[in-house]
Amino acid sequence: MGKYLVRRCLWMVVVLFFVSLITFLLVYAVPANKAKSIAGTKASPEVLARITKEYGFDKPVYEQYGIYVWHLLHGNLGFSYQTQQPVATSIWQRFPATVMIAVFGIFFELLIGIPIGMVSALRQYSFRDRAFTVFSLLGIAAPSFWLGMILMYALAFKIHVFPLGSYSGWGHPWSGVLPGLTLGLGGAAWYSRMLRSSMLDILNTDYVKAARAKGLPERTVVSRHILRNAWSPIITLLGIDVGWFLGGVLVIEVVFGIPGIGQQAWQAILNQDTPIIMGTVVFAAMLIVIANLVTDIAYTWLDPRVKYS
Amino acid sequence: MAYLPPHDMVADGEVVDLEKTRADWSADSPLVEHRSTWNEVRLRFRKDKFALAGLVTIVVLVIVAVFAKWIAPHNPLTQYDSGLTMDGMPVGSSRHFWLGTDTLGRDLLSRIIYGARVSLVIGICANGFALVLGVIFGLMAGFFRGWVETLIMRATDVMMAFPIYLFAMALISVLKPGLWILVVVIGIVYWTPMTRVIHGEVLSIREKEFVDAARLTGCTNRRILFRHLLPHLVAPIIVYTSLGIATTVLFEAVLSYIGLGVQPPTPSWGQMISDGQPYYLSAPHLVIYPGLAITLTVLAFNLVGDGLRDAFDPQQRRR
Repeated sequence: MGKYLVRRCLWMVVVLFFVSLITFLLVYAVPANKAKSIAGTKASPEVLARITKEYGFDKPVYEQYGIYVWHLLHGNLGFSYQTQQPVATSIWQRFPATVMIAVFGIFFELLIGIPIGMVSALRQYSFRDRAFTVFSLLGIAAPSFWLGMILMYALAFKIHVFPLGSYSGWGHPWSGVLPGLTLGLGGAAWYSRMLRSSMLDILNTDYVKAARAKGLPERTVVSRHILRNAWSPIITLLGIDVGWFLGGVLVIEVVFGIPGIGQQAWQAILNQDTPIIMGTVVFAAMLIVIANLVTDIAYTWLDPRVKYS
Repeated sequence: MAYLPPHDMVADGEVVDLEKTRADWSADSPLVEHRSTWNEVRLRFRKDKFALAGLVTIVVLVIVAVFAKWIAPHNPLTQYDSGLTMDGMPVGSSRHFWLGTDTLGRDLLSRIIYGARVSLVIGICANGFALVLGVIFGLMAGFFRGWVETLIMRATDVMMAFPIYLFAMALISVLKPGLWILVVVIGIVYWTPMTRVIHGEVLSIREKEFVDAARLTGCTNRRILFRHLLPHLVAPIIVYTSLGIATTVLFEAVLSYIGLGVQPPTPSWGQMISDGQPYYLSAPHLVIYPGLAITLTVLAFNLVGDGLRDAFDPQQRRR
């Protein structure tokens, strides 16, 4: 296990290296006049020349990338073209808002998805099962930004359950509920579908029949014998979602006006502020890779049959 | 009648007339009626009502997109004076504008009809591109093993670590948005799942005896790949074509909502939603109808994909 962990961590570094390299080549090297996007279109040639020299745009691409990686290894993601603030600081300042939406999103996914999946599997072909199937088909098909607007219209504008205004910090968690619910509804559709099919596979196994035959109460059969073995697809999805949500779900942040790292990245894309784009891609990739690793470790912990070597 | 039941049998709730069957039977008639795999698949698919509904929806969508010019009641780009109220607000549904108008007084229904073109073209082409990449890489990785496999599968690891939406947006903003740029970019960020599926399938097929037999008879690698392996991959390829289009249509909707899709004035559903967003509290129809169009399209492709998967592989039924 120890050896496996070391290998996985090394591989993680390699993956991140390639992510940064590819992003750098495409996003940094392609745009022609970067000095102009920093200084504005009206800047004089002297200013442009100075900026080109200062930022090292005149150096060959591999040298620029070398400098970028060297800085990256020291925790320096560069400076924003727009605000001149360090990128790491900008991301760190925006991160709490993203975390809040992610927490609510995961919470609602599990809160809605798991009971629905369980009921669907245990009462297969019942009316509730069919209704939930339709729900999950629609939840998967509806675009999240649209769902968010519909929810806002219904729950914030027509019935004043949630605030219509934007995010107002961790002190007012109520403002993060609706974006979280939007993320959660889409996710819950996947969770319930996966849980249903994985529980149905287990319902007919001999050990479940044996558990029923020896007279265990239904509650124990479901929680100890069925659910414990049906978890793994849920853990997989959870691992993917944690990494993805923490990296900033851009559309949701844009729809709800949440000042998280996704929205910041969107503004950076509009302004051609490449250091912020680069920084966010690398940061989000890091979260995804870490979440994958944690998921794989969680498997061994939850299911002793899983072993890595 | 080709089948001779050994004794009285009840088939599909009907008692088989033994006397008549015996009379129809001749010694050289085959014991079991021949059905090809495709017949079986078609029969099973036809029983799936959800999948059939999805298929009908797709056919309607394609017809609407192709014949948009004749189906749309108005020109999608014309800004009608009667399409705006005195305060400059969009009007609701009426006899003239069935679904109302947008913020510039253009007919919403016509724009949704034309928007189907963008969604379907990008959805189908981008997914097709991803599919071609995925099949080529998956086949190569599974068949040649060794360093080719390592290289390709490690590359998918790297791709899976990307925050794909953000990466695609950054790419498009650098390359300037346009229809074919979108197709290429979505294809590039989306080739990995297909590669993994094909790779897994090839790994299980390549150990089968018929591959060894083909090699013994002196087939070249290329012949084994395309004549012996590829036909066995038709089922996953067809299933993932349908499921993949659902994903790429959603992807396109997000990109055009963000403003990086096909540029105005060409109507696309995501862009219509973002145009309507500032007005949606007073004129929710601007947002609701295009969103319904996206949901319906994605739903239809998902239903057909699920139905095909069940039809190809009845043992793995979703139940």
